[in-house]
Amino acid sequence: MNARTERAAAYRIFRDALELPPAGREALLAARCGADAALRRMVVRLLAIADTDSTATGMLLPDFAPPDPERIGREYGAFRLVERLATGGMGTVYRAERIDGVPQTVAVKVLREGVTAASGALFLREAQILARLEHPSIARLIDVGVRDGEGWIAMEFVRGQPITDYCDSHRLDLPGRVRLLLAVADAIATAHRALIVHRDVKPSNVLVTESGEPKLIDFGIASALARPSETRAATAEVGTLFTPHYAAPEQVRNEPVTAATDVFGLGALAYRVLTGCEPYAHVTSAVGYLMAVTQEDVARPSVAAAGADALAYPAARLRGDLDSILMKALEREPARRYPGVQEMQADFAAYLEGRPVRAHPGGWSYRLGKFVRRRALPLAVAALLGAAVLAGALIYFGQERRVAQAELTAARRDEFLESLLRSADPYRGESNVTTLAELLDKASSQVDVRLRGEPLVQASMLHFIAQTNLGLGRVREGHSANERELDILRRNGGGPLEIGRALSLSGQLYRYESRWAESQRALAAAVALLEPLGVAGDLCTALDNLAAAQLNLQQLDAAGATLRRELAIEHSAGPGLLRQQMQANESIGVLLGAELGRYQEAAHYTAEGWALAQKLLPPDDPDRFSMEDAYAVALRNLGKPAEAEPLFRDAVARSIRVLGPQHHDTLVNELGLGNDLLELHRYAEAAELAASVAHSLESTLGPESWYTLFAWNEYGTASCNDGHATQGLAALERVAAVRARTLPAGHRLIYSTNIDIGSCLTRLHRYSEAEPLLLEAADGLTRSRGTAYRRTQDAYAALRDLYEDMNQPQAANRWTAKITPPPGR
Amino acid sequence: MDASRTSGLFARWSAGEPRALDELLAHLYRDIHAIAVRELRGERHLTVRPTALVHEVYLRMVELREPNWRDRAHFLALAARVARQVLVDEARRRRAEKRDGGTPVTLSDENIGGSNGAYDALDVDSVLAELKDIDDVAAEVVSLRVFGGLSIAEAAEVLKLSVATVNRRWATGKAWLAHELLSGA
Repeated sequence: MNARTERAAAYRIFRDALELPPAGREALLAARCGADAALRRMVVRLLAIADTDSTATGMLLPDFAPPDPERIGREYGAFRLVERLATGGMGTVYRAERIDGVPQTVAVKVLREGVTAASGALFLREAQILARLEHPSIARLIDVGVRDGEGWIAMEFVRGQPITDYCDSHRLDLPGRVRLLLAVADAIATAHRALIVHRDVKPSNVLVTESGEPKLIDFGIASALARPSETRAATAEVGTLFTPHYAAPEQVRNEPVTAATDVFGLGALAYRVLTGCEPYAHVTSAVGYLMAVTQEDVARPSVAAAGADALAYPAARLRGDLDSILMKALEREPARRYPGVQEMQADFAAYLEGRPVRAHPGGWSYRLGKFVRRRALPLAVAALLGAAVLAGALIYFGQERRVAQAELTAARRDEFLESLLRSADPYRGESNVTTLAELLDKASSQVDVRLRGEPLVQASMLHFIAQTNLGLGRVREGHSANERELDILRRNGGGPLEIGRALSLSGQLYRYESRWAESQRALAAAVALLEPLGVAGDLCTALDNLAAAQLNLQQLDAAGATLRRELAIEHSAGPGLLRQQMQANESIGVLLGAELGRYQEAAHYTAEGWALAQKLLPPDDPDRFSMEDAYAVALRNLGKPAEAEPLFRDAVARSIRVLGPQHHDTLVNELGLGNDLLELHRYAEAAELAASVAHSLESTLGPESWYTLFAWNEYGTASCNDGHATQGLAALERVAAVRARTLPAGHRLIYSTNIDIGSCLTRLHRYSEAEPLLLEAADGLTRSRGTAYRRTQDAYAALRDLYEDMNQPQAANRWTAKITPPPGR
Repeated sequence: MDASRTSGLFARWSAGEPRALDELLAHLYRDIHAIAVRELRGERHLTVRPTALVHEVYLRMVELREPNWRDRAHFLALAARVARQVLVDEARRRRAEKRDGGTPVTLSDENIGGSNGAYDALDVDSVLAELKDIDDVAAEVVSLRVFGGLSIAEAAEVLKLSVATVNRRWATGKAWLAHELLSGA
């Protein structure tokens, strides 16, 4: 018999022997092993291993674990370990005494090596917060430290039983149990106010002393130790620790843990204490729990309790309020749970006092929400749903249908947002969401999962995300949310209002990027959808943005018509649309000024807008300082750069303060200021400002964006005039190359850059190159914009300078004669 | 791999198309392996719990919109296989790099078992490979329990056997595994 077959034989004999009672085994061994001593030894060894493992079903190979290092007698800080109490997921807990003889008993938890390594400094920092936490129902944290690479925590030593054992051994009645839970809730709520989440609320972490006081142990330890990972991508040792039957769905998914997680934990604890069964009691493994808690609703407590044995009261007493409270706490979606432990605590108190509880089975709006989503619900079924829901249904099906639906959508969206804001608490360390931008990204990444099955709410949320990103100048993120919004609306039958608004926003986003053709397309579609709906505000915003796109596409007549249409709506709508009206004034100012060279009229409109803004809006409102900037532009175009400068500076300063130095609007305002400085011949200052703006715009919008080119153009002109003609010329030529490639021939901006290049070449005495550029620009602009246009006049002045430099006074005079003073002088 | 793809493969496999399993395994394997590797690289002492990998497999599967509960057993079997494969490969790679003894497998589930034992996944794998020739049911039960983190009841569901039978095969298979690992096989 070779070794392999002998081992197989040993296994089979062992297997058969194990089926027999120990007394009967010897006969079997004698018969099957015969004289083969080695075979017999192996079978006997196998039987011995099997027999020492008495916990055959519960544990996996429990006897073969390398023993926890012997730590009894070791010193941790001021304490010496005396007795091992328990080993858990994170480490081993000991009873310890003070070294210096002062009588003090503490519990010392020594963390597993991997746990310590993974948590690092987070653990020590969190400990400082914990040390401040004082509550009669929270075991105090006494000291923390690291020894031999193992972190340790000394806590108040609590003499007591786990809450479940205590309740059972004292045969506590229902109100008695709820009172205990109320005290636990109060402890957790207190911790939440100190920004600490427990994360591991379960019976073994809630001890009840002989005098009947519950004490939470391990408070915040789990929270201190978790990896601050936003995503569930990191599946590490620490990342997946959770306690089956008590962990919330977001925990098993490795999603951010928040106060709502403790609501779930407390709900699960209460479930176990009140019903005698754990939530998802049928589950037998961690992976089974994972599946259950993410997909199944928990069994109604009164039903679960009915199957439990030895309950101290009839299960039916849980029906009603307690069922509702626990079901609300154990909602799988955090946003549907109690907003905080405090509210849950209030409901326990209300129950004890016989007052009505907050938790209704889902709540009417929630139920109606579900109903609205199930559009085709037969009326017969609706009749069964009771009066409140039916009333809601009638609203829904009746004239207010849109309003009711919109309100529900908004309410759900706000709920979602609120839950995110809650989850943005600084529970999870410094790296957590601290800025609005991060919050938006987080919201964006969770819309699909957390609002699953609610497309209208998803779309509404994405609209909010896109709009807010736009406000923050985060155009790429805005586009991405907006595209998802549009996609969802189209796939799920979104109405014209929703789609119109989404398209309008899309156009606005394109406007930011100066992608005028796309902007125009989206906005024209938005206007068509919104116009019949009588939503004047939305319509005017879309029209205003449409006009901007048309302006920049050089469809000046169309832009004028769009703006007139917008103003007509605004004037007839009255004071509700003043903000839109202000924007219209601003747009008209741009149309008349930058495009048509009608500077007096432009100044008139922008002055009116600026007056409105000053009257209506607080000084730091972005619309107000944007208007201020527009008015300053108009003043400069009137030849009053000195008057414009303080307005420009004020707008820039406010923009930096309110929107931030890198915000798109801030940068554009700075461009305006730079231009003004050029007019004031402060070239060095202008060059410095323009270069910094250009770099910023380049990094956010790319090297070829509309505004980036403006900035480099400004920088080039300023540099040329400041004695750095070569550098300036290089910048201008780069701008000209991009504009020649991306703009239609004859565009005013192509001429505009060429004027600056011509002037620069003149300074470098490269007259023969300058002349054709300037002549072409003067001719083109005269024909397309007229002689009074500012840049036409600039072209004339540049030609005059050229010929003077070339010593051709006659030619110079010819151009001088065409120059007229600015209209404002 | 995107969720709809996973879902489709899973459905095809559940409906009895065996070829879909290979593809499904390959996809899940790639995803999960990447995670395991990322977590293990440069961390000599970090153990990877098999159940953590199983969870990760599951989290990928639940991207499915309407998970079909009839597939539960299928899923559990699948997840255990993926986890085993990933751990064994990672242990093999580590050995090849001679960085340390291999990937420690914590042969316990944190919250259900109580031990901290860590063994090399490759050793466990080869013991189970031999056991498969002797008692393939026992080998299967041990594999599901150790690599998949399944309970006795779940293993019974997967293998379509009674709980009593699974209990008996678990007792013998586990003793065998312990014997082999302790005797340094």
